[in-house]
Amino acid sequence: MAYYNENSSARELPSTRQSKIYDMNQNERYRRLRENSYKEGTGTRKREVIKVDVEKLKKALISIVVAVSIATAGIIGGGAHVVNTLKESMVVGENIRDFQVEVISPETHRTLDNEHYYYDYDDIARHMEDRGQFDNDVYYLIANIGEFQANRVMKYTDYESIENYLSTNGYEDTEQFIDHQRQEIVAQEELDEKQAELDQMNNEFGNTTINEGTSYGGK
Amino acid sequence: MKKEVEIITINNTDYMIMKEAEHNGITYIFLSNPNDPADIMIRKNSKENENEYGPLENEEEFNIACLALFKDI
Repeated sequence: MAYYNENSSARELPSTRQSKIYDMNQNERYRRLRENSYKEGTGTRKREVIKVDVEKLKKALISIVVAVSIATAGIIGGGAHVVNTLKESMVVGENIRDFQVEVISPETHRTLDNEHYYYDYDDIARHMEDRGQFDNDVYYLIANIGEFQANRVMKYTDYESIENYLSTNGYEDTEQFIDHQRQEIVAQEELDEKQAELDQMNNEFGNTTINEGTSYGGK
Repeated sequence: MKKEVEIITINNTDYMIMKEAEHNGITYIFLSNPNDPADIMIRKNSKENENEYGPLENEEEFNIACLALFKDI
């Protein structure tokens, strides 16, 4: 029977992480892109000086690239639906295995009678805090040791439980969280591959430029 | 911040041309409303007038445009 190592020293928990809401904007933006692309209305290209909030545009660009990357992964995989592509299985599976090797195995110990094993929950939680990819690691944790054991690890984090983590981050249940994280992991992989292209876009739209005296006469 | 950019006016709204890609002789452009970053769309040019951009026709064309713009097909 696994038991907790009561001799682990107490440590000061880091300050509460800022909560985030489950991001529906990505799917919403993709939906708007599709609908707007079919709408009637034609126009002609022209060059004009306009005011732009570059930070908002950069965020919009990155989020739509993420959304479209998710969709195109599904398109290339043979269907217009997201997830369950071969690439997703490969990418996510590899990351789950890496987590096992780097985080779980070092903190898995045999009992004195050598017949059972236990996890050092506190140290696993500390590793997750240190790695800087906490949301992904919660998914990998559940995938590796199951929700029951994962909940014991979460006790030593800011959230104290999986239930609190899910509700704080806007998830209805574990299944919704897992679906979202799998998409995020694949999207991040896609983004990393497109980083050179994104850097070029950021350079193009991120530079302060010209002619402050010219006014915009548009709408 | 002011910047000179290419824009297209569609239905009385100005959109910045943020990205473009060509596939099979058609140019697809990805547009963003500078006053509303969530207002985005893809348009394609017409064979009759290369400078005039109109809506996509169907799901298949939308998928092709996405791949051309974001996956380098």
